[in-house]
Amino acid sequence: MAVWSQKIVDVEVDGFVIPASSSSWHDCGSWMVWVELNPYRLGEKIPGNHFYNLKINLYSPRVKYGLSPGEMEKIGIEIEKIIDTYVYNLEKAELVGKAYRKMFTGTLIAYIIALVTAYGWWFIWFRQPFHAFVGIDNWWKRLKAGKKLANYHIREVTPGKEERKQQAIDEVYRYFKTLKGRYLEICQRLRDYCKAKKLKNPAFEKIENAYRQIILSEIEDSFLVKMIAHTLPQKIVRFFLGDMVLIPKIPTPRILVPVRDLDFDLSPYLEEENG
Amino acid sequence: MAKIDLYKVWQKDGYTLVTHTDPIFFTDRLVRNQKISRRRESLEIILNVEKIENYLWEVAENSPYLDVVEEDGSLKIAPRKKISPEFEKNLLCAFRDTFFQEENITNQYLLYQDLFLYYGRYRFGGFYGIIHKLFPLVFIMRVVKGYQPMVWQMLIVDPYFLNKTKEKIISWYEEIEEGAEYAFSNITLVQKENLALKVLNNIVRKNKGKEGFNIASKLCGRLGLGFLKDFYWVATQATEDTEWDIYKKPPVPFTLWPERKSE
Repeated sequence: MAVWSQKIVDVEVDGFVIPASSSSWHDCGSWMVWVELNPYRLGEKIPGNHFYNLKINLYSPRVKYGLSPGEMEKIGIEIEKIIDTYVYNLEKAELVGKAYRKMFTGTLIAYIIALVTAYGWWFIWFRQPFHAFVGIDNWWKRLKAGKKLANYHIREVTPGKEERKQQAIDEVYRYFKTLKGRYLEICQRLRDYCKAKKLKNPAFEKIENAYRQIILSEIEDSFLVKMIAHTLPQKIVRFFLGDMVLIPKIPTPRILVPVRDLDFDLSPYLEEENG
Repeated sequence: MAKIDLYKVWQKDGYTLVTHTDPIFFTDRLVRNQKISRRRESLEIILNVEKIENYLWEVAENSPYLDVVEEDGSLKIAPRKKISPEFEKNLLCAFRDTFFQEENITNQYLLYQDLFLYYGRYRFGGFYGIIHKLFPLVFIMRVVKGYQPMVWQMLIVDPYFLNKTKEKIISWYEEIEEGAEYAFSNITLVQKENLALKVLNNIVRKNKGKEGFNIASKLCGRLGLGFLKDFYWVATQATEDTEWDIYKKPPVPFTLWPERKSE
């Protein structure tokens, strides 16, 4: 909690409800909420030794049945989960990684001395010196973002008020309704559409970026596949580097949250009850 | 404020509460409890309902234990300050039976998983621990330049560093455990209206004798409540046309031709 002497900074970022359909087991067919900054970039924005209030301005297409309060709350919860899990994972990796580095820095010094003093090169087979750099990327990420992200005061998701951004997302939705085809093709065409429009309205650039991220997240390996050594080269590396890869490189997630397909007509399910 | 989202889902015969938990990764719960432990946050349970019902007012007005506050167009139930210790104990037991117990078991499980790091080569009895026991060799070898790296390693490396790491890991999980205990003794409940949930409940309600769960399980992903698929899909297996019907077919015989009976 912030105390009276603590400086607080306000961070505002934009989020968009993007017409696309997810293809995972759990969220098959859902749209996506995309927030313009990933947790690392978000952390970089916060000045050191400051608390922060995070405000996410959410723009969604104007439809008959917009997002209900429960769904807005859910988006907020999921975004917080992504940020907090990132911070947690970084700190967890550092819990052990820090001790490794501290210990093996000494070994690195010994290795350097041996470079000068020893006759022959047999000692290069010692693999300890590399441990001096274990989890160095996690350390950097935590220094730049992880430590700061934990110091929040208020985090909220509110409907956005800028008219140009609202126009952009409405226009994208209108174009989306005309499209037919396979899922990734639709995403690619929408990306190209935004690319063409971004000179007129800079908000399109953000939406274009969103589509890029969504397409990437569909093409890329999943989190599980990234973490588990499943190919022969990876298994060989893991065998030789052993403890070094026990401290994993924490991947920076994208802030992508599944939401209701706003194009899906709810009226047959809701109006029967009333009528 | 830490939040848990609960969903009041219609189950053909009545409501049940479903929460969003990841079936593979437990991390989000650990994160939440650690955060609560560090920041002393209170836990907010967001109850997603089809329609905010006013009977909560009546319940709370007559109740000596609960208080209702209206905030941002939603009703909020908060415990009154004076709760008899017996009642509080009962409530806590109820929560412990469900969330708390499960989270603590998970916590213990992950602790032992992480202690795998402790049983590495750097333990006192491990490979490098035994090497370290040969420390007196240093005095013999220091004359030979080629042994310098080994000498330095013996001098510098702390053989107990993994034992320290073990303690760190244990205290990490203790913090989380403490957070869980704090969280489940400071709960507020908030009702929120959820349109997607209303649609799903209507579908199951409308197709009570039919394939309501099957339809809902196919649609919930599109409605943004994909985690309910695990709930609906299991329900279909028990009550509706299931994929398990394949097991009802007569089994394939071991021999392709019937054995000739001895005449």
